[in-house]
Amino acid sequence: MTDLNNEVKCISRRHFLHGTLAILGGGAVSAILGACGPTPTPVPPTATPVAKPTTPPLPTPTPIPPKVEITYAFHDTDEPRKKMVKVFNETFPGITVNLNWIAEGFREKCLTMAAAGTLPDVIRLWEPIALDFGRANQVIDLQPYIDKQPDFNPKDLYEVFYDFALIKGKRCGLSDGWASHFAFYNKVLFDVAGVPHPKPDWSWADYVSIAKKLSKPAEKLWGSDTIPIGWLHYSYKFIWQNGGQVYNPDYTECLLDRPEAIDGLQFWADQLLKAEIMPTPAQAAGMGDLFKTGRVAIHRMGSWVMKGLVDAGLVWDVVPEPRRKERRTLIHTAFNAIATTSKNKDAAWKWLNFAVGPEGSFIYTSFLTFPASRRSVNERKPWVIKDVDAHWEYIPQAGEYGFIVPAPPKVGEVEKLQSDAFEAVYLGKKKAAEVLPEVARKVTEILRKA
Amino acid sequence: MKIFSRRSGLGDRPALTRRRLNQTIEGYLFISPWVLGFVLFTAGPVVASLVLSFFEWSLIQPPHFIGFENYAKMFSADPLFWKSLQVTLTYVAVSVPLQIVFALFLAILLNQKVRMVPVFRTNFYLPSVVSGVAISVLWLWLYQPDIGLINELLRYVGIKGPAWLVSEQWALPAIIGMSLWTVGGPMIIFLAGLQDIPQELCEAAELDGAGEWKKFRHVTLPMLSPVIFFNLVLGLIAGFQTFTQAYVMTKGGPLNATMFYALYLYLNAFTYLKMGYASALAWVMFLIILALTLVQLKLARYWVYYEYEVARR
Repeated sequence: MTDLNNEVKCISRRHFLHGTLAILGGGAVSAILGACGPTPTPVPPTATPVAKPTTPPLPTPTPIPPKVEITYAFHDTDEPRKKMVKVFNETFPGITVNLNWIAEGFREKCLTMAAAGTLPDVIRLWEPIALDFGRANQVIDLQPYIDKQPDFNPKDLYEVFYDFALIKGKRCGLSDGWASHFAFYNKVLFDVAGVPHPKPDWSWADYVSIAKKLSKPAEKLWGSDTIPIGWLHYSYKFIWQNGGQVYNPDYTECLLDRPEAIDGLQFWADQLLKAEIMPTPAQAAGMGDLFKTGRVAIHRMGSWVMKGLVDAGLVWDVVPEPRRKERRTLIHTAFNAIATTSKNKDAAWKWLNFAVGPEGSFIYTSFLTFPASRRSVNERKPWVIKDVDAHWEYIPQAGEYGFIVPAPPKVGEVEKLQSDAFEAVYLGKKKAAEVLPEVARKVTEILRKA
Repeated sequence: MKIFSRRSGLGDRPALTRRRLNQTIEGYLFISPWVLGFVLFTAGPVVASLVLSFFEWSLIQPPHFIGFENYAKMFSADPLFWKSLQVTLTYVAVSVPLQIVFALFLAILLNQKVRMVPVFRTNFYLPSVVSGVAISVLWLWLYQPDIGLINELLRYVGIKGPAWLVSEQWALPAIIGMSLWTVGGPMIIFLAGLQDIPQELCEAAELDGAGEWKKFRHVTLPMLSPVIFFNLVLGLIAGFQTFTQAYVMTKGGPLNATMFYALYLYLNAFTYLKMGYASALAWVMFLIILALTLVQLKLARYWVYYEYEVARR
């Protein structure tokens, strides 16, 4: 009996150990497989930790299966997207669009998803990522789909948006809506000071003159808002408005060494350092929105601020930014693209075409009060906020004269060089003429190696 | 037991060995979830980062092998590497000793027998459990040049405060000053160390005529030296990994005055898309921390007093 008990215990122990081993081993394998498994597309069998996108195949007229699921990723908000999906499904009930709203760390997540080969079927990419993904073949050429889409009218799109995402003849994304920079002004401050409201064709000299009339630095009141010196793209406007460019069209040369760039930047650095018409960076640091609080009369900023101005109860109007040689402004947008790794490219195109099409882009832009990338949609004025009296007609005009945020290769690296140089100029440590030629040389060197 | 002996034919000893073997296997089975997690999520990425440091990899394009080029470039052609190293070393050299002194000072205060001492302890420890981002945002306001509390206080005593975070000279000192606010962790460890000092040692010193300062200098400090050493090592490692404050408050500016090493590493990885270079930076940081820790361990024998070692002698 004792032996039997021992035998039973012994077997039981062995079984326990074997069973546990089996469970743990199985669990481990499952965990490893599970970690790799639920990706929408299998990672290519490669020894290196990167997805190697293949050359995108041309679209084939394969019929879409009755039920297809695709994922759409974006950064801003999911409210208009839900409505878009609802309307889309009235025409395409067989395509389920899963919305993936990446509110935080959008850029980093896009990059890591690309590295893992798990990009969503359709993704709405910011300008530099769109072009980077296009260069790296992470997204497909949309042109063959556009060519086969009878109702797609390229002429309806502003040229600036349609042509921006072209990489070596490959169209890697389509824009739906956009926001651009204008000069917003506080009508009450103008009227109290007896200063006439700015005209749409005003110049830099007019801007400075008006801002001087409105400024009382001792009372911490300024005619102009400060220059956000850490925001590189903001300063590009000064170069463009002075007739210059930051890069040549094919991003192989940096043009910051040209007189237009040097003079343009130095002009505004001088205004900032004098502190007569705008608060210095130190005065503005941590002060919040000086325009909304009535301490600044003119605020050069993106059109996304309009809703906030209305909510703040400000009496405001809008006018194009002033110019020295050319009327230019900065445009922000994003490009809808299809991942190379998507298994449902036809369905993805149907969704993308809807999202950037007249119906989808109207739902999106009217929710955010943005102009659309299509002229036909802008006839419906999606950017206008009801019951607010402003020069709304100026908003879509920027689509004709503005420039999109440039997206050269190695964008982070070259922009760091530029940021450091611009910062030195704005802080009065260096003159633009001292630093910009050297920066232009270094950036050009990086661009040519890229 | 008998069955085991009969099967093995080696008497009682193999039975014991088998039991030990089984126990060993059981032990490994019990720790296997952790080991698996460690291998997959810690050791694996560590090894991967070492391999990646010999590649050029933008995340979105296939990596290609470049040998030691990342390391060579770092030391020979990257001024920002040296700048970030200088900023970080300055921060560590100033903030770590300051934090230790301040934490010890607070611990001594909180070790007094006064009323409501648990409330004080909780309050002083509280900032250590607040998110780094929240603390950074709070200090952004405190350091605001015109309406910030710190310059407001300075104005009361007739000093015009600097522009702090937008000043090339003052941005790093501002972040160092802010680091004193989160000394709750070392403070608690010091407090535990203080309470562990045998009371009879202090009483013996008193009998020998030692005053408060001599008791502190010749009893408290030597008895606390292992705790000081522990906080020093941890402080140094944490100091080298400083990231959140610079990322949230200054983005490394103005003019790279707060370009901490960890921030520069992050920028290389996710802004410049130079994942291989960022991996090389990470390994250099690891080697620097390792070297400094080994130096501290070597030097510890000259100033760290372990009671049990004396007892053994």
